[in-house]
Amino acid sequence: MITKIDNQIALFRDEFDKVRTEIGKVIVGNEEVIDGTLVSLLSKGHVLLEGIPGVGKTKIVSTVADVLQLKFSRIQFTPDLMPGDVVGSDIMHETDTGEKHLSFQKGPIFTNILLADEINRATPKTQSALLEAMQERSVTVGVTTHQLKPPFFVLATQNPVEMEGTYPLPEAQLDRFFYKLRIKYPESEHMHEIMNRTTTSTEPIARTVLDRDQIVEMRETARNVPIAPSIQDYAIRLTLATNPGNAHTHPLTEKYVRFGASPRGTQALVVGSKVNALVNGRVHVACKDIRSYFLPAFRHRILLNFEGEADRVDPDDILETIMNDILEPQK
Amino acid sequence: MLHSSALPSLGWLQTLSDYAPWQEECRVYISREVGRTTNEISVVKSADGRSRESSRVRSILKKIDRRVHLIYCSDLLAKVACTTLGISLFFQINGILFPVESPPLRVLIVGSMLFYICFAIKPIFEKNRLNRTAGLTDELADLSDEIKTAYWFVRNPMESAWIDLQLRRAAKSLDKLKLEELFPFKISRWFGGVFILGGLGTGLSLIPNETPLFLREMDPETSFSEIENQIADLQSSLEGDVETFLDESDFEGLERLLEDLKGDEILNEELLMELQQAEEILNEEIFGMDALTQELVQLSQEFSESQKLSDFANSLGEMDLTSAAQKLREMSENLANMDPSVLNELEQELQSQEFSESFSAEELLDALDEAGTALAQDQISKAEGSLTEAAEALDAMAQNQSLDEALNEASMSMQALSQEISQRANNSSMTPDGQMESGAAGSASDEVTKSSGGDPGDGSGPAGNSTGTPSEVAELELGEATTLEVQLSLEIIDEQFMEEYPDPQNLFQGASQKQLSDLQFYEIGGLTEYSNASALDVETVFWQYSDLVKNYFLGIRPLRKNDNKN
Repeated sequence: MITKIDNQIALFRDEFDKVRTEIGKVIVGNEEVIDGTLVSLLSKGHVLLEGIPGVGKTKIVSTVADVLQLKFSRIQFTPDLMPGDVVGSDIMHETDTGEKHLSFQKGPIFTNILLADEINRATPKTQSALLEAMQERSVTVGVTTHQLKPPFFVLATQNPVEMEGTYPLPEAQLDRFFYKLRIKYPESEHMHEIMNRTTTSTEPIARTVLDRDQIVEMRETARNVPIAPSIQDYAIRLTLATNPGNAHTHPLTEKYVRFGASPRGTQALVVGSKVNALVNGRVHVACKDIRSYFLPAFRHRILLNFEGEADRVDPDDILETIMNDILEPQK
Repeated sequence: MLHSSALPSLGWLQTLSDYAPWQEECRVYISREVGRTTNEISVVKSADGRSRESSRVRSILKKIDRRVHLIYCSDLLAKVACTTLGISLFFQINGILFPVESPPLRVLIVGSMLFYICFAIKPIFEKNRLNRTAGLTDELADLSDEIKTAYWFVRNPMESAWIDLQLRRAAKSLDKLKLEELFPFKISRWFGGVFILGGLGTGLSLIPNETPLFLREMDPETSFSEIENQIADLQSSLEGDVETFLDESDFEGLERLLEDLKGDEILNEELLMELQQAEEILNEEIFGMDALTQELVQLSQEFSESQKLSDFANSLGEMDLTSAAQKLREMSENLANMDPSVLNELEQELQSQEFSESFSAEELLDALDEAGTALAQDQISKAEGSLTEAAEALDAMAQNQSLDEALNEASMSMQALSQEISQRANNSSMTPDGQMESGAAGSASDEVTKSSGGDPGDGSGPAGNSTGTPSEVAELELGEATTLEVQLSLEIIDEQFMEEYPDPQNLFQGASQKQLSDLQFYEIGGLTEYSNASALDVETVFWQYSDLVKNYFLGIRPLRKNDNKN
């Protein structure tokens, strides 16, 4: 007996696959990043993409925007960028009768997909202009609060190597990002494919396959996926293991971590897992869903202590150790 | 939506629908008939469907659980049987090679059975058994926690179409499972071990093992049971009279020795030494009964010609001192009734004897002499008293005699035991081809033999008089003493240091550089602030120095709560 939910799930998978296929026409490899970006989009989250220059961070974001029939804006973050350049500002208007009044000129943030390119090049003040928009989906200018139309999806990029003249994102800002995805350097065979696609007269183009309403519906569908408390408990135990000073703390955390993942991190883990479950055609969350996105959801939420910084510890190493050491339920 | 519990009157409907092949139509029809709304009907259908899926999930999980438990029991049985046979075989081999008494087989079997039953029924009483089975099924069938999640929703029902769908999918997945493939009944590999060990055990049982193999090769006459018997003899000989006679400390020492012998916790050499010390203690306490015996025999010979004292003399000659004392008492009682002629005769017989002054039985002789004198003076009652005193002196001698015998017996038992043990040590130090090991092993046995003072059963003199001293026994230690060579490493003294030191002689006699270089450490943690991580910024600190900077800041930071743990 096929129910309405079965149809919803089938549709969800179908649409997700379509998007993935279209993006795959332009982007070579990086399946994890593409999946993570889409999962984040469908989980109402934002993504921070990290990678060295030239690996296709901006290309991924622009391709995602192409595939989705959504309004797209791009802000190139620079040290002299002001908050008003992001959110907009009140501008004086003069009518034909000579009356003057202030009207709000919307900034590029009033969009569905916002590419915040090289976000760590802007000053903390400008970076903070995104805080409210990312969490509350609204922008307050003066005394007026403007709602952003759903879906609002921020895709920020940053370069981990070139640190001169940058302003590392504060913890509060980092925590707003659903996932932090790392774009790996392409392998040799992928490099060949990239050359073949981009050095000829015709470049591949991705079709638009998903509109706004479909995305909103998919987001609602994903939230309905049930999760057994034992699986949820696993996610919570993983979160607590990243935080020092509690009964579940991992020894490595105790040594190297000052602050671990927040409850918002657990939310990201669970919601992302629900989307991943649907993508895999399941109507329940499994432990492997939790594990799939444990690193992207938590790597930017781990704040190392002095010893961790001194030993150049990578949060991914800590998280992988925790993931290996914390047992799944009934194992 | 109405919850299913809000419709108790439809319980019979569910029962009916379970048996009807046309359940959907039936339910809709009856619902219409009883005037339910469409919404209520969907609730009934949903609740009914959920309960049906739940019971399906539960029943299949139970089935899997029974199967898993059977496999577990079978595997456990094989493991327990294998272990039991292994232990039994171990004891069997030990019994053939060494004189180790193995526990009875039935104890081993009963113990193993109890162990098996305990562990076989233990899972039945475990909580969340089916939850564990669900987890196992997920893992083996690669169902990505589907069954585990479903079982949780079975135990904690919630009203959600998604959960219903999840339950339905889980039930379908469970239906599709081929339990025979997923949880196959296969003979445990351990059963192979059972057969091998069983065969080995049977084979070994055919080997006659009346005497342990290594004892059979070394000395067929020596067995540990003999030693045990001797220990028992020694114990019985030490009980009773000896206890009353020995000093408290000596008796405690003997008791401790007995405990050591029973416990078998000490080395042979130590045992021998203790036995010989104990033997000395006993020998110190032995009376000079042999000299006394000779004197009494001489006395009996002197009285043997006397008509009146012949019975008394015979008893003395046979060393039956109790009987001799009795004879004297009877004579004392009859003294008043005797004819004067008889008394005269007796007087002459008693007085005619000339006793040597070197006699150790002074009391007896004095009493007899006094009796003769009293009879000469017609003092009958005094003579009676003297004879009674003589009888009492004989009684005392008889008691000493029995004590002497007990001590002798204990001493002999110890000698025999020490011989047995030294024999055993001698055997165990022999090489496989029967040669004695070079060194002290051979001399040890010689020493023991010499120190045992000859054949304990020959009755010549107090046994064990020539027992060696503990220092002699200590020579029984096997092999050469261990030596420890120590070489001090040279201390390298800085040239600059030498220059600073005006008198080199004093330098060598004085404290070492290491001692001089010790520095006092002062806690300065409280004076400084904990530096932040930016001190190690890769842009500002050259990487080669980063460890140095890290250690510096870690060294001066105030102690944290978890520092002791790390």
